[in-house]
Amino acid sequence: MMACLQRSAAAWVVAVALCGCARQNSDSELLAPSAKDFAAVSSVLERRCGGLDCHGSPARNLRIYGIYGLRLDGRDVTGGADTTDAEVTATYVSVLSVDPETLSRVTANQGAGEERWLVLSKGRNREAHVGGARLSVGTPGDDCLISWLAGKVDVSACADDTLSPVPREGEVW
Amino acid sequence: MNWLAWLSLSLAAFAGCSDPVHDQRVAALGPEVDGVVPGPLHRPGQPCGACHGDEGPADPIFSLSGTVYRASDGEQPLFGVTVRAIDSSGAQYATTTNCAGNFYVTPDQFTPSWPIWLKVEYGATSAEMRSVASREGSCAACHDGDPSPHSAGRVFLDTTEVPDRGGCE
Repeated sequence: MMACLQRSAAAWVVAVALCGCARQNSDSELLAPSAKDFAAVSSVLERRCGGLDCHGSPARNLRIYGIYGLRLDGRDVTGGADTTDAEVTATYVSVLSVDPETLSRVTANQGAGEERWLVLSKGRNREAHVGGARLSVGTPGDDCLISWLAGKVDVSACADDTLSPVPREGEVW
Repeated sequence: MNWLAWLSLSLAAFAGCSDPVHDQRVAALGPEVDGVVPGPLHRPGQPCGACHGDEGPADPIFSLSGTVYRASDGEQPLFGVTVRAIDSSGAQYATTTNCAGNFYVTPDQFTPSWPIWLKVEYGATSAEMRSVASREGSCAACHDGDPSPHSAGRVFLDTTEVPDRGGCE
């Protein structure tokens, strides 16, 4: 199962990479943001979207693999070992498969019009999303994704993204 | 329109109300264990919200619920564990497990703004969930049985203190 997934992921990445070298607007060629530094982007997606009860589930069209949710290798368990490189690649492939035509246009425009891409419009809850808003404009996590779409991952923004509880004044957690 | 047509339409309308996925999820939980009546002590380790959710069939509805064990094997429930939750608005709620290790929270007690963070405490021992719960109020929906590529394993607290059985035998 895992080997099959990895082969499929590798084939997809190669196909996307080849598409990225080609001219856009052909019927079959789409552009995609680079896989370089996607690990930093993946860490944001894993934390905010990749739990077992959301996109870290095989029931979702957008699958996010990693420590907090679905594991790619049948020997890994949720909450166990850190997210692997193969899982980052599998998440990259899954993300590219969502609304690829819009993603291609955004990529061609160096990130402009990013709000139209389904992953961001749903993540920001601008479009109906069962999980509500998981990214907000101007936050490090959102900036991280935008930078990836623009062609240069802002690794520090990705690293600055945190998700932790904020107790009310006078209370502790 | 004759009475037969009305009957057919009525049956079709009722049939349309059924969600086969939900029905299958409920059916997959199986029957009650002999000697345990439906109530706060029944079905430990199962996803409570499958039945105690908006789609029923059980009452009351739970906003949060689950089972805490003494160890990862799920052999022994842990009575008296404090389960704490804090939601994205900073609102907090705490409850305690019963002698089956079960806990449940109804919407009138706490309706969280998702996502939420959770921790369990027993005496001097505590553990906090490493990730958020984004929308699922039943622990066992994600903490189902042994750890696997799609389960975080049972909720347990490895305490050296001798747990009280709380009246359950």
